Amino acid sequence: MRRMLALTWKELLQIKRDPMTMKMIVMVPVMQLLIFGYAINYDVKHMTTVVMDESRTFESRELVDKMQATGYFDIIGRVDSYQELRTSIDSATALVGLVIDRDFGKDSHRGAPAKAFLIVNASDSTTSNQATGIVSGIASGISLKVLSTKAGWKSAATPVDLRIRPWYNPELRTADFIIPGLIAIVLTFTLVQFTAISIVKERELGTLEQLQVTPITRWQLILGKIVPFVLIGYVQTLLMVVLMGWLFEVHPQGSVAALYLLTGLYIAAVLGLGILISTIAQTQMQASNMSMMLVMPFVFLSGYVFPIGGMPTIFQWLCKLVPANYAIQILRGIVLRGATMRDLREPIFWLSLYTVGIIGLAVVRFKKTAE
Amino acid sequence: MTPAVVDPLVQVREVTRKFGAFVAADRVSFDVPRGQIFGFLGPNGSGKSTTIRMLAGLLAPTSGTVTGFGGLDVAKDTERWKQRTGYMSQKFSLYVDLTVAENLRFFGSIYGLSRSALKDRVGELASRLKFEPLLSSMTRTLSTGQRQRVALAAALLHEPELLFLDEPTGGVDPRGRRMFWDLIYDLAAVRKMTVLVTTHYMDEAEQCDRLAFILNGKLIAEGEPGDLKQGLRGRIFEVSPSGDPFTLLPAAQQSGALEDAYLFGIRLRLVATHDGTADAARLADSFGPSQTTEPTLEDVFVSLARRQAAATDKVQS
Repeated sequence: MRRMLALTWKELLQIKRDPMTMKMIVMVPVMQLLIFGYAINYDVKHMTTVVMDESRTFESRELVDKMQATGYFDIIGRVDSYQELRTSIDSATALVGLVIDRDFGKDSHRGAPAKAFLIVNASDSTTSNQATGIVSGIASGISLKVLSTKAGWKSAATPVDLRIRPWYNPELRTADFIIPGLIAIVLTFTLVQFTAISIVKERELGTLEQLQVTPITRWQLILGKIVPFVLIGYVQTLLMVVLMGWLFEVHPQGSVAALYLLTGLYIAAVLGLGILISTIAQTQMQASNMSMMLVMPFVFLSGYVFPIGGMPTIFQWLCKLVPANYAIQILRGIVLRGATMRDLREPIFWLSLYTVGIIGLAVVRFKKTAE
Repeated sequence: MTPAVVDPLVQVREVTRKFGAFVAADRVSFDVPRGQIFGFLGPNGSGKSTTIRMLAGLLAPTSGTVTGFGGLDVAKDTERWKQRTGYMSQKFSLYVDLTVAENLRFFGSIYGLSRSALKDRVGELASRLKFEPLLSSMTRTLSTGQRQRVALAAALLHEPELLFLDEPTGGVDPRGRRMFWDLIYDLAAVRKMTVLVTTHYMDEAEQCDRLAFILNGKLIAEGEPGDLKQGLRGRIFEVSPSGDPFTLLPAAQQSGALEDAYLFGIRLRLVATHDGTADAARLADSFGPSQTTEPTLEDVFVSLARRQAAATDKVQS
C-alpha cells in the first residue's frame, strides 16, 4: 500500500509540474462542452428561402405566411423566373425554394388541386428532411381546412387526433441529448492519452526499468500509476456535471451516486486502453497518435452524435465493440430519463465485461513488454 | 573450468535467454563471491547486459536458475530478492521533473524505508556522495557526473547486499570515472557490499577482484585477473623496432608462431601461440630490441576470443 501511495504521490507531483497536462484536464471538458453544447444543433431554424409566387393571390400569400410563421424559414427574396430561383439555390444563397403555380388561387376556389413545388438543397439531408416535413404539414393543414369547409363540418376537429409528447427532452434540444454522452467522450479523449504517455515516457527515460528492479509488484505498479488518472477522471466528471447544470440546465434526473459509480467503471476501461496502447507504442509520439486514432471510433460509433439506428448492419455490429456506446447509454439513461441501475442492467453488463476484458489484457501484455 | 568459490553469495547455473531465435545468453554458469567486485567483460552485444538483467530480476531466463542469499530464487522470491539487491544502469534513470530529494524520497518509499530512516539515509548518502547542495535542485539541471552519483545513491538507499552496475561510467569524463570507482571500492572494502559490474573499459576491469569474459552469449573464461593472465605469462613480447613499426606489422601477423600482433604506441606487441614461444622470441629479436612483458586483460580477452573462434570453426567444419 505504501509503495502504491508513493507512486501515486510521485505521479501527482509530476502532473502538477506539467502545465500542459494541467490545462488539458480543465480545458478539454470546457471546450468540448461549449462546442458540442452550443454549436451542434440538429434543429435547423431560419432556413433561407426564396419564393417564386406566380399566383399572387390571398391563397398563395397564406401558404408563404404560414411557412414564415413557423420560424424555420426566412424568406430572403422573391424571384420572378425559374432561372433566378435556380441561381439562388445553386449559389447556396437559399436552401429552400418555393414555386407557387399561376393557377394556385383559382384552383383552390374551383376545388381542383392547387399546385406548388418545394425545392430543397438535399445535399444536407438532415436540413432538407426537416424542411419537407414542415411544409408537408402546412399543406395538409390547409387541405384539411378546405375539405372540412367544403363538407360543412362545424368544428375544426380532425379525424385523427394525434398529440405528440416528447418525453425526457420536451423542448427537443440537441444539447440535452449530446451533453450527457460528452462525459464519456471527454474521459476517453484525455485519459487514454494521459495513461499511455505516462507509461511510455517512463519506459523511454529508463525510469520504468528502475522501478522494476525494486520490490514493487506488477499490480502495485499499475495501480499506483493509474490512481492519479482515476482522480483526474472524477475531477473532469464533476466539472462537467456542474457545467451541464449551470450552462445548459441539464440536471441528472437519476441517482448521482449511480452516475459516479458507473463513470468509474468506464474510467477503468479507458485507463486499461491507455495501458494497452503503452504496451504497443514505442515512443510518446506513437502513444499520442494511437490514442487519437482510438478516439475516432469512440466518437463516431458510440451513438454520441450519429444515431446508431441509422447505420448499416455491419456498422451497428462494430458499434457493439465500442465500450463508449454502453457508457453513453448509461449516462443518457441516468441524466435524461432518471433510469435506475436496474433499468440499465444490460449496458452495465456489457460495459463491465469490456472493462474486465481490457484490464486483463492490459495487465498480461504489460507483463510481457516489461521484459 | 570454474574454480569453486567458497560460500558464494549468488549462484548462476546454466542460464539461457533467447529472444526469438537469437540466443543472448547461452548456458551461463558462475558464482559471485561475497564482498568482492565482480566484473563482466565483453564487447557490446555480447550478452553482458542480458545476463546482469536476469540476475537483477528484470528478465526471466528461458532456462536455468539464479539462486543466492541463502536459498532465495530470483524467479520465485522476486520481491525479497529485489529488496536485497540494487541496480543502476548506464541510462540515467531518475525523474528529471522531480528534485534530487524527491527522487530519493520516492525510491526510498518504494523500498519500504520509514520516514525517519529515509531522512537519515538520504543525509548520509548525500554527504558521502557529495551532493548535499544539490538536494533541492531539479534533477534536470544536474550534470552527467552529478546525476550518476544521485542515481547511485538511489540504488543504495535500502542498503543492498548486492549492487548491479550496468556500464555505470558510460559518458562520464575520466575524473568522474575515477571518483565513481573510488566509491565502488569503498562500498566493497568498507561496507562489505558485493558489486557486479559490466564494463568494456579494460582499466576498470583490471580493478575487479574477479572477472568473467562474455562473448556471443557464452561465458568463455572466469577467475581472478592474475589467474586469467597466467596462461599468457611469458608469451607477450614487446619490441622497440629500429625502423617503422607499421611496416613490420603485416609480417608479424602472418607468422604462425603468433596469436596476435598489434601496435602499442611506437612499440610492437607480439602474442605467441601456446607452443610458439621460442619462434616468437626469435621473430621479436629480428625486429629489434625486445623483452617479455606482463600480459594485459586485453591480451587475455583477444587470445580467448581467438581460441573461441577457432573452436567454433572446428565444430562447424
